[in-house]
Amino acid sequence: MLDLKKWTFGEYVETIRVATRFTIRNYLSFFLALLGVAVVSIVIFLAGTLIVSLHLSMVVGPIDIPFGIFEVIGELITDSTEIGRLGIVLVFIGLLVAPLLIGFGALFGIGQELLESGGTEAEGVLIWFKRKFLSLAGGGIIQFVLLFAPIGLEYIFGTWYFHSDPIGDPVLSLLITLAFIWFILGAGLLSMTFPSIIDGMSIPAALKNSVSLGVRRSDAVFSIWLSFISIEMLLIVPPFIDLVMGSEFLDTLEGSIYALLVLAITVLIILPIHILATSRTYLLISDPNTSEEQVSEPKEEP
Amino acid sequence: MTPKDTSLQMKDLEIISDPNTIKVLFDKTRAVLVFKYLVNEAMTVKQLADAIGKNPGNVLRHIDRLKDAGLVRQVRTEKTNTGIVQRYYRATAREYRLGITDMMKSGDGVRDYAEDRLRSIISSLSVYGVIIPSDKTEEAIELLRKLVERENTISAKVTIEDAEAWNLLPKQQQEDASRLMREAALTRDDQYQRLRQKWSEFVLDYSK
Repeated sequence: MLDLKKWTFGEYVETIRVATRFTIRNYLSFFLALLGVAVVSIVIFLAGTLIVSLHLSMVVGPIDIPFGIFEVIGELITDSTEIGRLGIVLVFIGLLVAPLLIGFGALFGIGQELLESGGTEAEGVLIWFKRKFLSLAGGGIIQFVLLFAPIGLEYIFGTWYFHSDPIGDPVLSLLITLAFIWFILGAGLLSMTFPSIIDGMSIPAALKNSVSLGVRRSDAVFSIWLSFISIEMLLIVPPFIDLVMGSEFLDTLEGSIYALLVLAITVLIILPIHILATSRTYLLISDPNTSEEQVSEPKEEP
Repeated sequence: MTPKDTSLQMKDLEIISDPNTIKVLFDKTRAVLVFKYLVNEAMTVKQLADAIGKNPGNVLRHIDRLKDAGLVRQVRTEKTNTGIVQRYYRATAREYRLGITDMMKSGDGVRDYAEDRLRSIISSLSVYGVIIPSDKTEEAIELLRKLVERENTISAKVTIEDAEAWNLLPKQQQEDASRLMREAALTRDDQYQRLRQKWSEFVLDYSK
């Protein structure tokens, strides 16, 4: 029987090693799955915005461009209060990124297939996409709102607080630090949500299970999450800081190539390994015989 | 608090009354997975895929549906030296029966099926010389329904404490042990005894 109470450095290394090995060995399946997810997500995104635009044109009058929804959102944002803007941005961006989130969640399906049986096929991702469509969409949007609503509120507070230039103000450093800590901690705690949904849990149960695993098995959950988010940040943060500092590096040819390269490395290499490492960690720490649900299972008398 | 290990437990009998659960088992692959393999032993997705000749992803999705329906549960996890994390699944019970009362309450042909089944049992008693007149058939159906329902309810409470050890018993021994345990449980149930008495008297009234 597997000792699930221990998360050693050896286990961590083995998880990264297995995730990397499985990614290399099944790269074609993963690549085709990523491609399939991207195509389906884009089609759903375009179809969704077109349908909403058409309905909107019936309510608010004819919209002369096919994707007039964006124009309407822009006007709503301009006319709203700060809180209203935050709500609109979160709801609409949440809905717009939902297809991508479903696709991202469905990749955990083939991750689980690979790690439970050693094999998978690219079309599997589309079956998970279809089967868990609503759960993955709902789970993805809730995660998005939970992570970004507090950061948005902080932004509103910032715009109210700073009447003049905030650069150099210690409160700004505090706000940035708080937002950073919230994102790292929150996303880490929620990192087991998609594997839990793939494992058959409802959205509330998956969110609860993810947070519970993140607290009870923080060593396992955060060692994997921090490893991958650190790599991704190492790639993304330097040009971002460059941009904030007013540099035009990203506007140059070198900058564009770098951005493209970072995107390709993140999506095509780091993402599959990250998904497999997270799936393996989930499979290792979620054995039902150590979960609280099993403790409360009633034993019926014969 | 140390969690109680319930991984070795299995119900001797489970009554399926939810029409959605019944529909899950209408799929041939899922029925084979449960009734041919998982009622007998705990198996991994890979083992099941090899046994039925389907791809593992397909089997995992079937297992997912069966887990949702409460027909299969995960019992343990093991790591292999290739890095695969194998989960072992097993059926929640050794035997499944359809809940006759719920079937008779439902629509879309299920009610007719359940009623026909009871009616055919009653008519088949004629081979033992028990001839129930047609005006008493409804009474007989109702008595039998109550008896079967109570028998199922009580039998479903019998739990196999060590499913792994149970798997190692010869088939005949499994059947005998199950029958004896169910009988013991039924003997202790007053309601079942009353229904059985009533049914016996009814049958004897119409036997030659």
